[in-house]
Amino acid sequence: MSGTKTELSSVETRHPSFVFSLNGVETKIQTASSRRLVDLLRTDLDLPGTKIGCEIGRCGACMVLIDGKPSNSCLTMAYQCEGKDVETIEGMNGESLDPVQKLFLEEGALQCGYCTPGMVMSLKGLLKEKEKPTYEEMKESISGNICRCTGYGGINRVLRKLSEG
Amino acid sequence: MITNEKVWRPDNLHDAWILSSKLSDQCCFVSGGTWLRTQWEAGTKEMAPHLISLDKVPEVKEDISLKGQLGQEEVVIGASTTLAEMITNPTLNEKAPVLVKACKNIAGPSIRNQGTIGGNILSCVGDAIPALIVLNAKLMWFNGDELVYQSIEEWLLNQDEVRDILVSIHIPTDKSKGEHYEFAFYTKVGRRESFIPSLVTVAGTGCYRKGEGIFSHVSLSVGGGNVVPIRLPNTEVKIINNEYSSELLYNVLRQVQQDYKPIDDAFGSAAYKRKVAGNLIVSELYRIGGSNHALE
Ligand SMILES: Cc1cc2nc3c(=O)[nH]c(=O)nc-3n(C[C@H](O)[C@H](O)[C@H](O)COP(=O)(O)OP(=O)(O)OC[C@H]3O[C@@H](n4cnc5c(N)ncnc54)[C@H](O)[C@@H]3O)c2cc1C
Ligand code: FES
Ligand code: FES
Repeated sequence: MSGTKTELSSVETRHPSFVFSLNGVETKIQTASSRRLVDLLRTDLDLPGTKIGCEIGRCGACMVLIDGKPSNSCLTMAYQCEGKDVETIEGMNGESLDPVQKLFLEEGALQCGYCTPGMVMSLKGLLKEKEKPTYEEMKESISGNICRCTGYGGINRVLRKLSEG
Repeated sequence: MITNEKVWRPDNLHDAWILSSKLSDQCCFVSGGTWLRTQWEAGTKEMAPHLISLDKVPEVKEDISLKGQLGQEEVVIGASTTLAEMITNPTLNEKAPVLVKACKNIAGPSIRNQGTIGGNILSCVGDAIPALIVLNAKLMWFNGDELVYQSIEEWLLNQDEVRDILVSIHIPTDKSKGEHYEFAFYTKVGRRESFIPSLVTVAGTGCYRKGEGIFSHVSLSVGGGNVVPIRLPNTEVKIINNEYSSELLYNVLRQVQQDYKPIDDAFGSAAYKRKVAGNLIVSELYRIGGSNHALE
């Protein structure tokens, strides 16, 4: 783990502390062990880029990477993050746009944008696992991400472009 | 959402069991927590004040491996193995591809990264169960004193009172079938292509002697929705040692309709699900035997 150390005491002081890497920064948080990661991120850590929709793992709006793998933060409890490497959409807030983000913009693959962070994180997870995934693999990787606006046309073009390299 | 539940993280099987017997109905075991969270949020199950996570218990985390002597080999799978790990495991792909196919059909990639095979079984309606039934899987439980084996089929008949810890799943890899053409199938039907709960799931294994057109060693299972999967012994009898024919297919179709008793739900009637189950099994038998025998 690298970067500055964040210490945060939330909710009740008698709760245990958990240490994990958040977007490369070692983070210590005191919270109830069963508190959902999505609440930790959005409420306690003020990182609202991770969205919240269905709250039961069905929409993918809350997708983050845990140890590089796409995970629904609405289904993940605080204790399950201990010692892990958690990446959220804010972690992609670099100098230049990430190629996946760039393609979403170029192809008009978003309307309200609520599903976009989740879609991007799912695709980033696949690209971490496989350098050159096929179109089918990419389609499968976002099968747990629902978009209510776009009709998937633009998102499909992103997948096509990514699979063409 | 503020939660005050206490999460215990024992680091061995014995301590996990002692905790659960002390806390009794005030606690529940957690593996990935994906099924539990769905129940808590839907209000169908209350979050227990004490959660006993099994994530630090080494026995349930055992890597997938091939054990035993030749002829009596079995694949052993730790109960905490995630569904994603099942899909990519080379041993499982070689020895039990039908189970791999079942896991690929469960939820989406992110749920499979967290959800475990143990949790899928303990939900009693998991989509891996029909595949495990036809593979004659055994479950190994820790009851506080010792490790005990039980066939998954037997457990499904009395699954109401689980207080024991599911440690591992054991799949025999039977070599005696080697001389025959072996088949295995698994089909899940939902309301869309992927990431959807099952309406009907069927699985089957067996042998088919191509020259004679005779079926043997056939195991069939059906489940789906909120129905606990079952084996179909009466349907199996209609197939085993019988020659492939259109009459056999009709008999099978009729028998499945008698043996399978799903329930109506908002998405499909019981009659529809019975019909789908019968059609799926018949179409698999047709795929296996039909290429050899033109239907009369
Ligand atoms: C969006 C979504 C989609 C889904 N789609 C599917 C699907 O298509 N098909 C399907 O079959 N399921 C599906 N599920 C259900 C669930 O995710 C899977 O069944 C998963 O495999 C459950 O595993 P888990 O480790 O998360 O279980 P958990 O939630 O941790 O536990 C499930 C049950 O098992 C008990 N338990 C867990 N481990 C043990 C153990 N070792 N010993 C004793 N008791 C134990 C728990 O107390 C609990 O009662 C879906 C869930 C979600 C959220
Ligand atoms: S909010 Fe987590 S999947 Fe919908
Ligand atoms: S852009 Fe609005 S939900 Fe996808």
